[in-house]
Amino acid sequence: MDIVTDRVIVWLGGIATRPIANVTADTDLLDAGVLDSIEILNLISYIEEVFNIAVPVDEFVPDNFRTPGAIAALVGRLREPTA
Amino acid sequence: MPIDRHVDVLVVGGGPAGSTAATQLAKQGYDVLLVDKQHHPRETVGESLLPSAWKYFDLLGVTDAVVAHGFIRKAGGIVAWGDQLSQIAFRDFEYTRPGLHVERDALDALLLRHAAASGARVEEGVRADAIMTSEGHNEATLIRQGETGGERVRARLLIDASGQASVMARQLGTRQVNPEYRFIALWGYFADSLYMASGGTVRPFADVRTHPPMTFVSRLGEWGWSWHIPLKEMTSVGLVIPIDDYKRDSGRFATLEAYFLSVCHQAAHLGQLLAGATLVNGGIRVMRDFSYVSDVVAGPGFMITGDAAGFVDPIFSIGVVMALYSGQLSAWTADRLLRQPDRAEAIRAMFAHQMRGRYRLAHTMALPGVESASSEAPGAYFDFFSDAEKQLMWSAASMTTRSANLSRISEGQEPPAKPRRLDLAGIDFNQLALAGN
Ligand SMILES: Cc1cc2nc3c(=O)[nH]c(=O)nc-3n(C[C@H](O)[C@H](O)[C@H](O)COP(=O)(O)OP(=O)(O)OC[C@H]3O[C@@H](n4cnc5c(N)ncnc54)[C@H](O)[C@@H]3O)c2cc1C
Repeated sequence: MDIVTDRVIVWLGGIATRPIANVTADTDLLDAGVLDSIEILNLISYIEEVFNIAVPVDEFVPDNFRTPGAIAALVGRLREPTA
Repeated sequence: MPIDRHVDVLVVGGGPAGSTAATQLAKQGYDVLLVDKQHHPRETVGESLLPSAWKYFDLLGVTDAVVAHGFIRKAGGIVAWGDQLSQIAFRDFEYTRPGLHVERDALDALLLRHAAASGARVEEGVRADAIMTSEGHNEATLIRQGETGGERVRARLLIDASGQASVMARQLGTRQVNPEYRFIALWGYFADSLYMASGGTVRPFADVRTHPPMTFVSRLGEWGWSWHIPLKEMTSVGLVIPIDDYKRDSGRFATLEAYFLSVCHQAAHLGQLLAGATLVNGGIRVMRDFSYVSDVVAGPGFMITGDAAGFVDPIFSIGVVMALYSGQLSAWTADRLLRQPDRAEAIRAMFAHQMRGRYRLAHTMALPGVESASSEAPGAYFDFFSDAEKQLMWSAASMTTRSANLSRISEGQEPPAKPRRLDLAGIDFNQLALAGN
């Protein structure tokens, strides 16, 4: 598992209101209600700060946040310097 | 006018949206001033709360206070829509805590006092007027009740949480009444109403604390409906009626109250619940054209949140939860704006995107005209919700004839084969004596 996915999973483990077990890169965080409307905001703040990125509004779509793997992919894309 | 005061954030309005925003920003150390033109506790409409409200109470830190207040707990809702009589129970949607029937004057005062306790400066009986916004230099005149002159205050950010007054949107000319959705709401409070508990059991009011009530909604004509919400001391009963129907039917009554009572007493089930009840607490309240939206919800230096940004229809009881959510969202956005002013435009776009998504979803769930719903399909936004939340939306909508739009927006998604609702054969008012035991 790559380091970004790993950190996202650790962060998810720290969401006090909804403790969750056995999260993998493919766990559906939206269907299960782990990333609810508020936690998704907190997650954005977290990844922006830790990975020094800015999530633009057109990337704020459910599929980019569905799984830890998808979130890591989003971070990866946003970290790449645009040509 | 010279500037008399400087603050980080000025919040206009102390309903659930304003109090939430003020609490969260004050907790983060910002200098927050919240003004409300009324003195709390103040009366307002919107007494049925979904269980998702608890999540916001947790975040604010008021859960214990809300529990201690002892609001009426409800287990779900019963809807009589023409011939269809059905019930949904919150526990079928992974909720472990109940919905609530709240006296809004008490709940809103509790939230506002909490904002003050969290460090926000709260001033009541103070109206914000003549608002001017621009990046970093927002100004408003604060006018104290009974005084003429005002004090000019400057804020780095302004959050409009003024509810239906919708101060900023009116000033900007961006508040648009929904032409397809013109209703009038009439409501009042009854002593000694019967109520419905789980399974459609009818109970006397005295049981309301021991046997949780259901919110009871019934259809009136093609597009109208009524609510029946038992509170601690009284039952709130309201009618939501298309303005054209109202104009056609109310003329032959001497007073609005006579019209209201006549509609209540003639409605199926509702009339029976109210048979031995009396209207108390100062007659009836009226509100019309409460369905509107502002095209603009954020701009340089300001955000519009809660009802001030838009409101659709109370049928699915989402107003207060939406106000709590958007209060939270505006605090999150304000913090980012104040810390990263160079990214202001992108941060505001995120706020507007979320506000609009929520509004469209509410619009789609409640809108009578199916056609216009497709142009603003919020399908993608629907996908942010959990399976349980989607199930609740599907199931609630399926209790009325307003589910067609919701089916259309969730393209590519399977509506549940069977909504999680219980269809009831009927309401047996003869079992009452037994139930009262
Ligand atoms: C008929 C009807 C029935 C409803 N039923 C329900 C229901 O059952 N459940 C539910 O969840 N929701 C319901 N709602 C919706 C609910 O009432 C609102 O969504 C909710 O109150 C919005 O909260 P808010 O904080 O945005 O605004 P509000 O609670 O309206 O607060 C706004 C505050 O701003 C203050 N203010 C206004 N202008 C100024 C100014 N210029 N300066 C200073 N202060 C100002 C006002 O005094 C007020 O206290 C209903 C709505 C209607 C119309």
